[in-house]
This record gives sequence, structure tokens and C-alpha cells, in this order.
Amino acid sequence: MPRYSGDQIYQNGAYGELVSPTALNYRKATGSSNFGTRKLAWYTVWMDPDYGLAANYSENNSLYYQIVRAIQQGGPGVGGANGYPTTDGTVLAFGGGGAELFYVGTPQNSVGSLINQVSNQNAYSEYGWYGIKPNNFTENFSIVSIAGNTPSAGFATITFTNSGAVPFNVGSALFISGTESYDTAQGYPVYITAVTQTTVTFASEASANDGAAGYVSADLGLDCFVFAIVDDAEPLLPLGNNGFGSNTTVYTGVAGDIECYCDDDLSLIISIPFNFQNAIGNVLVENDLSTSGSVWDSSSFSVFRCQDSFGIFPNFLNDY
Amino acid sequence: MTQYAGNLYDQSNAREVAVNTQKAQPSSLFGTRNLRFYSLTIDYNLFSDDHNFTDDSYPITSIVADGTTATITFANPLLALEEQIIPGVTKFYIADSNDVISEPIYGQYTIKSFTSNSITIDWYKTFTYTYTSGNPAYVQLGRFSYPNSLYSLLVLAVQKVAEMYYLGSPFPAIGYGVIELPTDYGPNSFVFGVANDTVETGNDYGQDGQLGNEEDGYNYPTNSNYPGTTFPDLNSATDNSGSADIVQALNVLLDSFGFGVNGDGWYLNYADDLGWGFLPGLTVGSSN
Repeated sequence: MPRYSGDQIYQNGAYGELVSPTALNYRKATGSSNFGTRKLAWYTVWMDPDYGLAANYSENNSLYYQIVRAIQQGGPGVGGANGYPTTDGTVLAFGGGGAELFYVGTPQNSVGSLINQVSNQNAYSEYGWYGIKPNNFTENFSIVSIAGNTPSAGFATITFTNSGAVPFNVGSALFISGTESYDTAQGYPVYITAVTQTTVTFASEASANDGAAGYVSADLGLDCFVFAIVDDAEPLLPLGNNGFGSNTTVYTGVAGDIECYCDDDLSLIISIPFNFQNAIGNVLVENDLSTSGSVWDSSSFSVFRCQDSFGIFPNFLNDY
Repeated sequence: MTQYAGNLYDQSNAREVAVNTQKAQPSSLFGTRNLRFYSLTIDYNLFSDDHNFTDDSYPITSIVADGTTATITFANPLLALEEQIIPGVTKFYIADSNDVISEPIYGQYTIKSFTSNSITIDWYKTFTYTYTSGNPAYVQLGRFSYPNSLYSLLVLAVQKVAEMYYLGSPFPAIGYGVIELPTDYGPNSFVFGVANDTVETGNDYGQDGQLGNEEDGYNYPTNSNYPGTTFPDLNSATDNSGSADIVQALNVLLDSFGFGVNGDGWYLNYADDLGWGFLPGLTVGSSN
């Protein structure tokens, strides 16, 4: 009979009753700590918002759904030469095995995820988190003029030079530089309330009418979601092994983690789950979303292992 | 009586946190549970086994790294330490809050071998460091999983009132490293996740989700206490601020260590799922 929550993981339901299929996951659990919890490994997927990861995500044929299923069913696996993962996304006959998901977050755009932050302010700036938030900036568009707000309107409008399609989205974080009156401070964007091919409007208390000077760009963000699996990664090759790139640690486990020190000064550490990267890449290829036809089109998506600290976020460690 | 795991209505057995498993329900399309995450930061040593500020912490006198291993030497023989080191098992942290070591060797390591006054770890770079003067860097043994550590006590306090599904290790914020790590979130933090239906979420969520009320001993909004529950005075009728059960459990524990309410030397924040990670967001509350 369970007496505390840590016992439940061995039970067939708290009182031995039937449990739903979705509850079966924790029948498999084993105590990984003193507290009856499991050891989880966290990952985050970043993707170009043009792919529509967040669109209709709960539909069972959505891109999000397909990607989660691909992760659950296992990627191509670790099985290249000398036990290293393949680097070209080749689908191998023996896969890495499906991952048992313990948490799947909903997809959301990194720009929109300011919601519910500290005092609803821009916490990225407030707490210095700007450096770890994924960005996806547009090019700089030259400003032709800026019309300031009127007391009744409360908005300013920038006219800029653009010969292409509408470059921004309503709600995007807008950064303005080089103007007389409207420059945004680092990490403190304004948010777009209306946009056309050559104009963009945002809330402003300034009334100045500026002329042609400066640039405007926007952070369109990346569509992201996090997920957690049981952490079964163990170092396969030691830190510093030179077989798969230099300064790399290869891990076993369904994720096929590769931890690398990514530049010569060895100050930046990134951990990438190759199996999941291949699984996601294959979904994109199958949906004709990879322009290169390769799952290794790194410009279109990324997946990183996260580190657990005061929060959980991509494992970018840097010496600064 | 056969009960389905998703039975949200028959609460006749709801006397302990343990029965929460009956309430398991698919919260997503993929058979996973709906978890709620928190970040707890505290101005105290979470790594020691006896909740002491300086326990198990040793100043570093030198580091010699040859590209494969790094040997870290201490000023004094670590006789007490030696008795408890298990190569390949014992974990420790290199803490460099004073940024005196030029290389990014802070963080968690497993001891590979040791002598009476040195330990050796795997390390990928060649460098040497010698302490001269001023504030030293430290090695902090990771004994937080010992039953009497403050970390253990904090976790057990939360488990009194909520079913914990994920528990992060303490984060050595004393070691630099994360890009633009906010100083507000040192010196020690850890993240935990509980089943979302086992915490008092009050008015933050839909009325149909009022599942936490019984567990935390307070039936909002009828203001009546349930018998036999742990904390009968968690929420006020006017300030059903959410997760007050966890806050209260931590309050009771930390009061004995001289802390005040949430925000007074310790900080419990919701950790929001931002898609690219979880970051501390709104303060849970300071209910006492």
C-alpha cells in the first residue's frame, strides 16, 4: 500500500485498480534518486516559423504531431562507422530505438513566449536572458520616414524601403536603430500592431516626425517546443576523443547525444541529439520542407539537449 | 470498486497525496502528463550533506591539466574527504564565482582518482592554474542527495503536498558559465516538476481543474478545511494565489533555518515552458 508519492511508481495504480494506458508509463519507472523521481533528459527543437510547427498542432497530421511521433518511434540511430552517428542523415537499418516521452511541451514562437514572465515585463532584458533566447532577425530595412503619434492615436508608423513581400508579422518584436527619436534599447523592442509591405505601426508615446535615417528590423522568432525523455545517456567515448571531430563526447542512449566543444578556444559547449536530429530532419524531407533535401539543413531547424539549472534551457555554456 | 485513472469525481479516497495517481489523465496527444514546473533559488549551500554553509567546500591551490585529465590540488590533506570518495561515483563541483580560473572548468564532475590532497577528473584542455592571493576557487563536494541535506529536506517538504515527477539537481550558480546568467539567480537553484493536478492552482486555471484544493487542505472557495490534511491554513479566501501548499510547506521548513517568507532569502517561481526552455517567471507567492 503506498504511503508516500515515491511508492506509487511501483504500483498498479494507487489502490491496485486499473489504470489507463496513459498511466502505464510510470509502472515502468525505477527510482533514479532518493525521491522517487525519474532522471529525465530535456531537449528543445527550434524551427523556421515558415514551416508552421505551431499551426494546428493538435491535429494528428500536423508537423508537430509527426515530429513527436518520429521521436517516439526512434530516429535512424547510432550506427555509423566505428559506432559514430552518421553525419549525413542516412537512414540506417538499425535505429536507435524510440524514446519514451515524459513531457511534451506545446509549440510556440520564441518571440511570443514573453507571456507570464516577471511582472509581464521583458524578462529577457530584465534578467539578462536575452542572450539565451533564440532569435531570427530579418534584414535591416532603410527608414524613409516616421510619423509620430497623435494624442488620440498612440501609435507611430515607420515607412521603410522594401521591394519584396511583407517582411514583418503583427506581434513581431521590432528593433529600430539610427533614428533621431525612435531607437529601441538593446533587448527592449516594440511590438508591431499593423504592417504593410512598406509600413509598420507600433504603440508609441513619441510625437516626433522623423525623416529618412536609420534602419528597422524584426525578430520573427523561431517555433520551438521542449520534450523530455528518460535520460539513458552514458558516455561512449571519452571527453576529448578525436574520432568524431575533436573535443567531443559521444553518448549512448536513444537520443545519440554528441557533446562538442565547438570552436578552437573550447569555450562553447553544445550537445546535440543526433538520432532526434535525423528523425526530425526526415520528417521535414518527407513533407518537402527541407529546401536542400537533406536532414542536415541546419539553417532550417535545430535540436539541442538542455541543461538543468535555475531553469532548463539549451546547453550553451560559455566562458565570458 | 474499480476506478479509472481519470476519475476526477470520486474523491472518497482522497486522503493522501498518494492517491493522486488515480487522477492521471492524458494532458497531451502523446500520453504524457501535464506537469507544472517551479524554480527554487535559495541563498544557502544546497550541496552539503548537513546544510552548512562551508561544509565539504575546499579551496583550490592549483590545477594542472594535460589535455586529457586535470589534477586539482588542495592546501591541506583531505583526510575526511578521502574516506568518502569513490572514484567514478563521487560527484563534486568546481565553483569559481570569483572568476579566478581562466578556463571554463566550473561545473559538475565525477572524481576519477584521488590522493590525500588532490583529485583528478577528465578534462579536455591543457592549462595550469596556481592560486596566489585573494579569493580562491573552490571544490564543493556534491552530497546533496544525503538524507539530511537541506536539498533533501526541501524536496521532501514539497513531496508532502505534491506529487513530484521531475527533480533537478542543485545548480552551482557559484560557477560561472551560462551566457549572461542573471545574478539574481544565484547562488543555488534547482528545478522541479509536479503533476499539475496535485497543486493548488486556484484561479489561475479553469474551474473544472480545481483538483488541488483537497490536497492542500483548503476547499476554495467554500473556505472549509478538509480533515486530516497537512496544512489547514494555506489559502485565504481573498488571496488564493496559487501553489500556496508548496509555499507553505517550504515556509514551515525554512522558518527553522531562519528564513522568512518566499522572497526573503529564498525564491520560488513558476518556471514557464517557453518552447525553447523553462525559465523562472512569476513569483509563486509569499503565503504564510
